[in-house]
Formats: sequence, C-alpha cells, structure tokens
Amino acid sequence: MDHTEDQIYVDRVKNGDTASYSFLLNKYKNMAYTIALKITGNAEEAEDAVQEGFIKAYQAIHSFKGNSKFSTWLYTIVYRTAILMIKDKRIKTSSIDDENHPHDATDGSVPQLDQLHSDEQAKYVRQAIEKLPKTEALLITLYYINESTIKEVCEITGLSIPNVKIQLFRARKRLERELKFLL
Amino acid sequence: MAAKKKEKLKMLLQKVEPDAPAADFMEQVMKEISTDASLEIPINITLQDLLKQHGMAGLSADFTEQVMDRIEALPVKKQEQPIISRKAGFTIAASFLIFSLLLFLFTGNTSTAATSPDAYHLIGKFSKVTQQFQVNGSPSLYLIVVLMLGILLGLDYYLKYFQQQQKA
Repeated sequence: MDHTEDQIYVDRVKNGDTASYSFLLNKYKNMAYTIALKITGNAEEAEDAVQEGFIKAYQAIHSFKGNSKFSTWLYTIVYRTAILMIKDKRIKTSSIDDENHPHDATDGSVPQLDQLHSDEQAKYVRQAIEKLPKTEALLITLYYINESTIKEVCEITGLSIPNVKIQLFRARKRLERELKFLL
Repeated sequence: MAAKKKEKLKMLLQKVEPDAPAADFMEQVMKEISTDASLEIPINITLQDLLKQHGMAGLSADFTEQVMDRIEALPVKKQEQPIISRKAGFTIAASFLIFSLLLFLFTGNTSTAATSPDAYHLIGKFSKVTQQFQVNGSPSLYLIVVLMLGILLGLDYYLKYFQQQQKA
C-alpha cells in the first residue's frame, strides 16, 4: 500500500510534476535526517547531507526502477551523501569504548519510571542511542525505528548480513542495559 | 652450535601456554553464531516502542520549502525519450520480419534463387515482391525507403534504450 502510494508520486515526479516531490520529502525527511545525524553527529552537517541527498535523489529519480522501496533507495543516497560529507570535511568520528557506560541509569541514581515525563524519557533514549558507536546507532535506527528488514539495512549501509546482525545484537543488548529502568 | 641454540629457544617458547581468552568467550561466540543463523534477529517490543516514540530527530519547519526551492531552481533536465515507443519498435521489427518472409516465399520458387548470391539478384527479388505490394501504383523504391526508415528508427530506439539501461 505504502509502496504503491510512493510509486504513484515517483511516477508523477518522473512525468514532470515537481510539486509531488514535496509529498515524498515530507514523508521521509525526518528518518533521512535521523540517519544523517547518526553518521555526522552534527545537526547542521546532517541537515546539509539530507538536503543534498534529496536533491540527488530528485535528479536521479528516473533511474529508480521500483525494484526496492523508494525509502530504501532514498536512504541509501542520504547515507552515502553523509559519508562523503564526513570524508570531505574530515570530521573525526568517535565511538564510545565498550567499558564506558557513564549513564544516569547505571550510576546508582536510577530515576523512577512513574516520575519521568515523556520528554525526559526521550532525553534518556536519545542519550542511550548517542552513546552507541555510530554504526550501531544507525543500524538501531534503521532496524527498530524505521522497521527496515535486515536485507534493506544491508542495502542502505553496504554492510554484510552477519555484520549487521552482530552489530544489532550488541546494540540491542547495550540499549536494554542502558534503558533498563524504562523497559 | 647456533642451530642447537635456535632449537632450544624454540622448545622453550613452545612450553609457554598460549594466552587464554575471557571466560565467557565461547558463550559470546555461540551467541553471535546463533544470531547469525537466524534470518531476523529477535525484537524486544518494549524497546522498539520506546525507540520509535523518542528515537526520531526532527528537522526545521521550513526544510521542505528550502529543498523545494532548490529543486525548482535546478535547470530543467530534458529526459531523452526514444522517438518511437517500445510497442511501435516491436511492430516495425515484426513487420520487417513478415515482409522478409514474404519476400522469400513469393520468390523462392524461381529457378535462379538458390544459385546466385549476387546482390543485384537479391534487389531484383525484392523489387518483384514490392511490385506485388504496390499501393495505387507507387514505385517499389518508396517501399524500400519506408522499410529502411523503419529499420533506422528501430535502431535508434534500441540504441537509446540500451544507453538508458547502462546509465541506470
């Protein structure tokens, strides 16, 4: 259903209806931004990467044959654009050490779940994701939040299936540990 | 002497036991193997709900407008389309095949057909057939021209089609 709806808008854009692209843009911009943010680690860089990604996708839309979901195709472009942006601007990527877990939830001062408002929960979730190595954070975003399949995750990131599975497994364990007080 | 010393050193080094991995090493490896063996990894629903609820980042309100402005400012790239459609291409190819078949069906019973490979002879055969296809007394040359045009258009279509395929 979703796939078909996207295809209708893609076909319209292909036929010269530029305005139809804003539908696809609105639908996927937040996830595209979340992906870019996981790679760049910087809001401005991520926004630039998403803008570039959407423009590249628009320019290449005639090459989209519909063999995969439009979102998968789009996120692949955004992912590669963000990676290129990091390489170009030589942004140093950093990841946390495996032993390093300086989180409120595990330092003894565990907040009570019933005391937490939604925005506080959001803060803890974001912090927990930010603490993950960048690739793991990206995989968690794609697999759990976007509900992409393993195959789609591999298509977007270019990683192998075993690699994706292992990193997802580790990331999930770490998140479960970090967010124990919310689960 | 030197060889003996070397051998002694080797023996000595071999007596040292290799470093042992962490106690839970095997457990970790087996966990990873079992993760790898399953097609999809198990999902913690509560965790997923929490991530879906709070894990998305939001963009500025005018982001869509910014991108659309940039897109509209892009130079209009004309999409090259084949002059004739795929259907028309197949029709031309089919017509040509039928025409060629008829050519040999109608002229196949002449005595010189199989013996002379001469190009003039082939043109002669072609003319004979086209005379039978004359409409309102049009000369056969016109039919040949139309046929050649059809072939050229067909070639044009397929060349562009393959170029597009290569670009994609």
